[in-house]
Amino acid sequence: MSSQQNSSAIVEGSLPLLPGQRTWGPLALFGNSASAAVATWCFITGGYIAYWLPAGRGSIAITAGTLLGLFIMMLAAVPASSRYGIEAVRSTRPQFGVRGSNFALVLVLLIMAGWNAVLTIFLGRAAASALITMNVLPEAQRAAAEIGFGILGCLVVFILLRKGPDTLRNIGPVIAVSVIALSAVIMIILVTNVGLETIFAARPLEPYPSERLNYALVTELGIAGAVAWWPYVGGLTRFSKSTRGSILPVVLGLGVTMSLVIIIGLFASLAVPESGGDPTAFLIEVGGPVFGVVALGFIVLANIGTTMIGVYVCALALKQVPSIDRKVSWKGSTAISILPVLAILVFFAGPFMDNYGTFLAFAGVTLGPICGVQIADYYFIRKQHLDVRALFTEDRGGTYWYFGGVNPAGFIGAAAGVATYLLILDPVHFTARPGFEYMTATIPATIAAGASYWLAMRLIPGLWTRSAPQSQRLPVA
Amino acid sequence: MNELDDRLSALERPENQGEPLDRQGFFLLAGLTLVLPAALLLVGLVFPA
Repeated sequence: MSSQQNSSAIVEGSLPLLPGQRTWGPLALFGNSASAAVATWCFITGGYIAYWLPAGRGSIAITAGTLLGLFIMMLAAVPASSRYGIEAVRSTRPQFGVRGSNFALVLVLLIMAGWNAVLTIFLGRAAASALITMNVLPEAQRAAAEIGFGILGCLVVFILLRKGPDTLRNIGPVIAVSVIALSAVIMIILVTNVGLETIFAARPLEPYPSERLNYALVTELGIAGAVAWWPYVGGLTRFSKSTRGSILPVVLGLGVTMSLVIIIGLFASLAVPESGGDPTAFLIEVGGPVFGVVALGFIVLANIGTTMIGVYVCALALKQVPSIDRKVSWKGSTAISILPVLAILVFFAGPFMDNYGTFLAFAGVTLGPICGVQIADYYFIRKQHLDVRALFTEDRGGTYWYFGGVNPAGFIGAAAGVATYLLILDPVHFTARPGFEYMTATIPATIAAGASYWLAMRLIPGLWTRSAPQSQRLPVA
Repeated sequence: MNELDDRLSALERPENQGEPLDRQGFFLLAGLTLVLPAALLLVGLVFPA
């Protein structure tokens, strides 16, 4: 085995990264953040916004919402990952306990499998549609082409990832630059052909009577969308040497780039309502095969880039299970992460996409409260100091063992956050309760989760004394 | 296990840990993701509907 393979295998285990292994600079971090953020689903989100807000307000609200969501998500995910070289699931052990953190593991695996399936289904559908619109494929072959392109996408991701994260560092920025350039081309074609005045004059498709409610719904969409990047960002920023150095690349890569592509979807949906935000068909109609190739290039690069990072995060989360880490190689873990995606793609693509809204809601409702619990724990209880050895210890006497391996405060906090969210907003039907238009749902859910966690840590006997930093612990009699 | 022990021993030394989120970092994060979006939201409220 070459030394490079050796180093890659070590980096891809469950082990924390040492400073010498955290080799990503700002460009790699920006590139992978942007590559993760931009995919066809950005267009679909843009399509949703067009129902509620016009171009100007919609662009502002989604950008602001995304940035606000990044504040919550980055405060929770980045510092522990950058400081100790750990990924997202491992970083939940202090809050949920050694065994309780399996809750976060299952959540991440479900959410990542779901996202990766969504992306490959989008990839298959969009690529097939583009080729059919360009008359390269007959309509009769649509179904087979959709599955075929999805499987091809999975295969490409497996080939790219099988050797470890070096691929991400090298390919992420290339994909990001290509996708940003193609996005700019798509935006220019769209604006040139439809006209900026027409786009900005277009009315939203089905707004609620309350202007404030429409505005808050789009802001919430941005916040929830950004918070959903929690597993991705934890997995990526562990390669960065400094917390401060991670901030700008992630904000630019995730926040700014993603908002720009969502805005393209918003503009496309307002200009051509039947597009649902996806400008592909429109581009081919106005520009023929040349523009079709641009659209197809965007679809392939954007979706494969995001799926690649999604599968990487999923495989890394799997390796946090000691028995899997011992028995399964990195290549095996990558393959296992792709299998459920293939199963959904081939057998359940239709029913899965019919419940896409419910899946999005599940991700949004659960991850905000987890961020709240992590923020309260990391800053207000542990003062940015973790017992790094205890993070990797399965012993009953370890700092993060608590009661039978579970920290009840974490679950109390998460449950309080989820309940708060559901009290304020029904995320499946977007039915809001009074007050939502002033505070959204994810922000109060995050605060409620963090506050409940902190209170539970103070009130449940034995938790505070074993968790607070040495200087704050009460003297033992 | 030796590999894990070695790494944990190394990471227990502060010089091998990454920097915590310091005041400057927090203000950078808050400026970009709290103050800027709050200002944007205010602009959006007065933006012609």
